[in-house]
Amino acid sequence: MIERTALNMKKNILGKPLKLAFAGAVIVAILLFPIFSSRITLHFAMVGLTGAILALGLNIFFGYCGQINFGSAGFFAIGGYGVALLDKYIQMPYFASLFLSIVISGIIAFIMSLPLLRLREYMLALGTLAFGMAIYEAVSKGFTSYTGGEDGINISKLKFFGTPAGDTFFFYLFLIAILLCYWVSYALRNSRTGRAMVSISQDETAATSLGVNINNYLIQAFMLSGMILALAGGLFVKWTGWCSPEYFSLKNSILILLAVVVGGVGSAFGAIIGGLIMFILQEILVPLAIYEMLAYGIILCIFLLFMPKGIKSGIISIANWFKGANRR
Amino acid sequence: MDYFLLTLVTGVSIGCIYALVGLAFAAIFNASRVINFANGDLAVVGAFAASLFVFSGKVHPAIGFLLVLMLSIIAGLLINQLVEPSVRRKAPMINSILITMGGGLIIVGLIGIFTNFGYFRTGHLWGLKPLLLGKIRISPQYLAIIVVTAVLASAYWFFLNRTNWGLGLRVLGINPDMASLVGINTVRGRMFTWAISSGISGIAGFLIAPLIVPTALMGLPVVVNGFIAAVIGGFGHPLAAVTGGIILGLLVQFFTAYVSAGNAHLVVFLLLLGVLVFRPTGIWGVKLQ
Repeated sequence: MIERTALNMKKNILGKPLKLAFAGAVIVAILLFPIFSSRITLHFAMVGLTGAILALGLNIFFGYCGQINFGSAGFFAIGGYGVALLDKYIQMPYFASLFLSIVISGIIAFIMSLPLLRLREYMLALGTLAFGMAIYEAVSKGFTSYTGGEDGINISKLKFFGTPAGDTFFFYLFLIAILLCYWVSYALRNSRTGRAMVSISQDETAATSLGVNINNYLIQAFMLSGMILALAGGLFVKWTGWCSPEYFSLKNSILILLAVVVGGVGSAFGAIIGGLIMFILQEILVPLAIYEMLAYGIILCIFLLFMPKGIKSGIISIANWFKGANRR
Repeated sequence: MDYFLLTLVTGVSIGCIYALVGLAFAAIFNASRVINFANGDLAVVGAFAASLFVFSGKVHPAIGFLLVLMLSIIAGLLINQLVEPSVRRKAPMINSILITMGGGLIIVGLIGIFTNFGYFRTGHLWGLKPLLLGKIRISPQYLAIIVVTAVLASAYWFFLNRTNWGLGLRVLGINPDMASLVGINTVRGRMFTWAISSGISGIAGFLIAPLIVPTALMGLPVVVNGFIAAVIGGFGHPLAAVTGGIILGLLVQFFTAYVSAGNAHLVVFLLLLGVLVFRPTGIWGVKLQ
């Protein structure tokens, strides 16, 4: 016992400056990344960052509250098409349209939550799945005269005093958005509201008996989740300059879900890591598209069966197994 | 009038496909409270196996059909093996849903690699000449779908409600611990229902293949519509699934034919929301213990 405490102290004394230096190096590397990277790596990084925002958004509803949502691409689409349509029809300034589409997404999430959140488990899965598919069909086949159908909508470039903003600008914009969303998730998790949400995920009956208004908290989480997903949509669409229904198909809902599972359900930092991993993997797999579904299936099964707490604890337990810690 | 009748027949038979998949959902749900999101993918297995054995004409259609059944049952049992641990330790339902989904993705991914995500070969086993039933012209494939659905649904209903095995499986769904106490082999029981359910899904895939352009990605609309059909009818009851499927098929076909093709899914979603909000037990009012 004494030995272990001494060891811990030693670790802390040695560990703290090293940890700080490491964290500083990582931050500097991230900040300088767009200057030194090539166009294509920057592209991968941007897609990964979008995935991180998406995973952070879903994590609030799926991770904290433990409720399933198969329609997250629907909110992604609301954000994307909100920005695109506002840009096309009334030439609204970008940040105003981004804000407005996030608000619209929040309102839609509120309206949808009234019927959907009466459901649980598989019924909720089906309801949200149908919601996502309805949005996808509406933008790709339904209201084609407004959304351009499969052709999508071209969006004007973001300009500052006449010069168009490049990938580097969007990289920092995405970073700010991630920081914001991470801060929201972190603050939420350590607040009364967040603790109430986690209690819902663990046991609804017990939570109710302790005076947690389940429906209220679920609606809040659903709205917040929808707003963050819409934020990701608005950013992503403006960066690519093109809003196409294929970004918002069910595949992306599954991918976002996978990102949260890979990162570790309920962990905000894990969601960022999972989003980066899954969306960069998806972008790498584009030329190998026929192996894509197999890869997702295998990843989903491996994580759910062997590393249900996400990649970090999975790696730790594998390392422990090699050290023989588990064999004692 | 002719157009109306044609839409009616198409709606009923497409609805019967949804009904079969809904039946497959209900079968697994009744015995193990797992929602199998891989049902559509098992239908893909059925369609793929049919393209290999039945429609290629290399073996006799009857043997080919048995092979179709066998392959989809094997695929279903593999997914059951993946889900079994989380069912046994009573993990949250989200886990089992996601694992079935992952298993389905693996199977479809393999088939996709095999076929390069292209079309499967199909054919018309019963010819293309429409049969005349009174005033209604009905193509033999549609008739086959309707007949097979009627037979399978009633057979499954009979099995579940009028035989000892069916009683055992229902007990297994309601309370697995109790079931094992009274001498039901829970593991084998679940395997048995998975075999039934994936067989039904495989048959659905085999039957729908000539009507659409089957690819490895056709599973998703099938699984979603099948699930919606089961919920509209009343989840867990075989005949309710058939009712829901036919209502859904008629709605989609008539809306596509007379109003607009693009928004059919939006209407289905609204119908689903309406059912979920105002009558969550479905049209039949199925209550689960």
